[in-house]
Amino acid sequence: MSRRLLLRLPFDPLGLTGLIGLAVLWWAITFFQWVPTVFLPTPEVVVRAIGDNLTASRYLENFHLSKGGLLTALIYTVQNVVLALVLACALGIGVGLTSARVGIVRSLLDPVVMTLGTIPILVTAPFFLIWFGTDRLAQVVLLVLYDTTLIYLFAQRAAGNLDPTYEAAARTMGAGRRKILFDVYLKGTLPEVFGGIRIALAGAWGLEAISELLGAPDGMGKVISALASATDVPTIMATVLVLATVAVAFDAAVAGVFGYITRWQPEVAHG
Amino acid sequence: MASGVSTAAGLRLDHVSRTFRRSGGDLVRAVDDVSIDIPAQQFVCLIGPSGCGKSTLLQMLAGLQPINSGEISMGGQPIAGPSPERGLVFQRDSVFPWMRVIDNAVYGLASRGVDKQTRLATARHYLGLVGLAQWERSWPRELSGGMLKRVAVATVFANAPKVLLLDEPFGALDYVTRLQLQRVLLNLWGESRPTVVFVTHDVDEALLMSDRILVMKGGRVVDDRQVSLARPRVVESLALAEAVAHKEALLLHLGLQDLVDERLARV
Amino acid sequence: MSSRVSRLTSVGVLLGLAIAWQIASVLITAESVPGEPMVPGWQMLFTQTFMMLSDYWLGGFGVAGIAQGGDRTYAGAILAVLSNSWDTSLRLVAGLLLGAFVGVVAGLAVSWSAWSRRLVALPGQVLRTFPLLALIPLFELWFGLTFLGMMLFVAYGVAVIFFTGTVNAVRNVSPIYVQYARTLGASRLRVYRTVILPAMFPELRSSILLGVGVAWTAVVGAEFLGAQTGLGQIIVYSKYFGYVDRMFLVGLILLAYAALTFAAVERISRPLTIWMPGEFADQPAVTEVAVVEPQRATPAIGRTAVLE
Repeated sequence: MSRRLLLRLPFDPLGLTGLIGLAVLWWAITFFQWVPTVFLPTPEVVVRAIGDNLTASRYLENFHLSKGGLLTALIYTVQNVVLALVLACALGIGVGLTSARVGIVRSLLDPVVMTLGTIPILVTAPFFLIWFGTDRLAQVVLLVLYDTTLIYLFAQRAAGNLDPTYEAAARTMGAGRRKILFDVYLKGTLPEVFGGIRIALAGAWGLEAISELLGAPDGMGKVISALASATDVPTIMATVLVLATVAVAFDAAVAGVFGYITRWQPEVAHG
Repeated sequence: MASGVSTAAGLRLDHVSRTFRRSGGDLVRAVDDVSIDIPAQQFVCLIGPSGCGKSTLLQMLAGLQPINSGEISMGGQPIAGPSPERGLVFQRDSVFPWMRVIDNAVYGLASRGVDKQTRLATARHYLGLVGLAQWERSWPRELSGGMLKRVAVATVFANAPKVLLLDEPFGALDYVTRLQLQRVLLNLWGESRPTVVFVTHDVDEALLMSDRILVMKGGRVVDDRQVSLARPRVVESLALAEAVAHKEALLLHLGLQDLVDERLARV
Repeated sequence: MSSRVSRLTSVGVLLGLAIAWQIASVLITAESVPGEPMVPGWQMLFTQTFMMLSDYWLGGFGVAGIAQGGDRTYAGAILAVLSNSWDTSLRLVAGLLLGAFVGVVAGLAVSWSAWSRRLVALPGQVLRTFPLLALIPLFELWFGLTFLGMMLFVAYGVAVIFFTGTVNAVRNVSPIYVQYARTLGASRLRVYRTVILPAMFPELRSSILLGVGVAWTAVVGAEFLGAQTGLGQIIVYSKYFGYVDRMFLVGLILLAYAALTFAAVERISRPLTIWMPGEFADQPAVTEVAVVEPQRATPAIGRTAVLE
């Protein structure tokens, strides 16, 4: 390949073209009526729906949803997702890392976690709704269960994959137990654990949404549920798009932060 | 029973250059205006310190890297892209782990459409020559590094290339295995005599194998030595006066300044 | 800890949990609805509850459905479980196969040229971060609460996984194999067929297990939100009446099915990686949950972390 312009961009400009292409495709489908607009509304209609309902929406109030429009519902959803993730990290990382080394912990927890890992966590959702009512608690517990399982497994695997050479080297240099724990164990496993957190986050949005769909005091899922019974496709798409954008934005932000923290990692060259 | 002796071809490099743009932005001349004429059937070693451009040059000969300026021609025709006529033995393991040894050995022949009977016979012949006849049905994961290298050599030879390129093929192996494989290679070469360009950083290896040694430094060819030691060469050949003279010169090229100082001290 | 001891401990832990559940069912006498305990004990589950499942049998095969005035029988219950299992399984398998096929083919097609790969990388990544389960109401509005709708939803979720997984797996094929094949005279197509496809199988296996997990979640989610039949539907339907015991029993049945499918898929896909060097051959597949990312190597997770 002849000389290539090396622009220092955080993303691939060609990929951005791909995204734009997707939007153009959507517009084209509705413009040429390849799919009737009752099924796939035009981008303008959806965008307008977003604008109309983002803050204080009369329309949404008619469904007995909160007054602040999509934004309040979004805040509710985001709060649950973030809270659950933080709790899961607190629960899962330490225990997961320990389980790789301490056999008893592993033997006790692994069967539980593996069982949880085999069922779709979603199956437990109705139980929480009955036990805790259609309350924030039910959603958070569900998410914590899901997130913790994933993070535990990632942390365990990260600790297992950590080259024992590092710890041995630290020991021979006279590092104490606590220092090794922090400098070698925690920092060395961060990349993989971060990966797990990112994956847990990605799945959490959908899980939270459907949990709200099943019954919640507020949230994007509840909005979608109300709109679905009114068969309002444009506003549903608007809501889903807003939620998806937030999910993607969070993922990008988290990836950026994590990438920065673990910037010491060698780049893996691909062919 | 070979599938026919290859008609070796000569290589000609005409003011060949390869430039990279590094991540910092500056231009690097990995290969700088190199012109060489390699007659057919000659065994050439390309030697030099790390980063001198020898591997890059070899990759260009193989057609795996583009030529930024100048021309490389084989048998009078300019080259374009990889081709079975210029076989390459890689430094790292390239044998396909998901195919048995025999399937690996026939790969080149199968790719060129040779019929099943012929290609099996040819592959078996070469596997026999490298001493792996009993390992035909094995998976690569069952073989050691040296054995995998033999599979690669047999595979490439089975394809009857006109030019054989080797990129530090024995670099990752232990001393004894390396000697064994050098002998295997020379045996195979003796049978079909393709033109060979062998990249190495090991001076002894170069002296044991080649007719001609080209020294590269900073992307340029700085020395071109004819090696006229009698074949077959053995380890003892390295003690002959001519070999020692070559070796001193080469080590100097490679930057072994201690040798110079030592000689000066002895005087 | 030796594997025998650890296996015994695993069984012990699960037994301990079962016992703890039983104790809890005795201690927690709260009822969701009069007559229905919040924490149903085992003795109830395997007798009374199972019988109750015959409520979901609509009649046929000589066993009258409840609606037609028949009694609750074991036969009815068994038939109910079987027919609903069939419905759920069909949606799952059909969606899984369709999604896998579309995802892999699309992934391979996109990977053919570096340009197309780069073009699709970002949209693929974005699509993967789209919350799958939030799309259920949309799919329902588009395709209705039919078999087709649910199958397509499952297929969509699975296809996204396989697509990004395939693209990543192809990228991770060590370039040396491709170069070696080319210097031996293989055409581009032959390289794709004999080098890239086999080389990406180990990584693809991870996508397969992940895809199965997503398929289960998708099918259960779709059934939660308005199916007429199926195991997930029974759970949600029972919830409205507060029948926690039925929910639990059917949940256990689902767990058994899910575990079976994972084990089966793992078994079946093993011959594909028979050639892998020792450490991978007899271990469960490494699930590389990879978002299509240009630079960084993504971490690997254990086989059961196929939740979504």
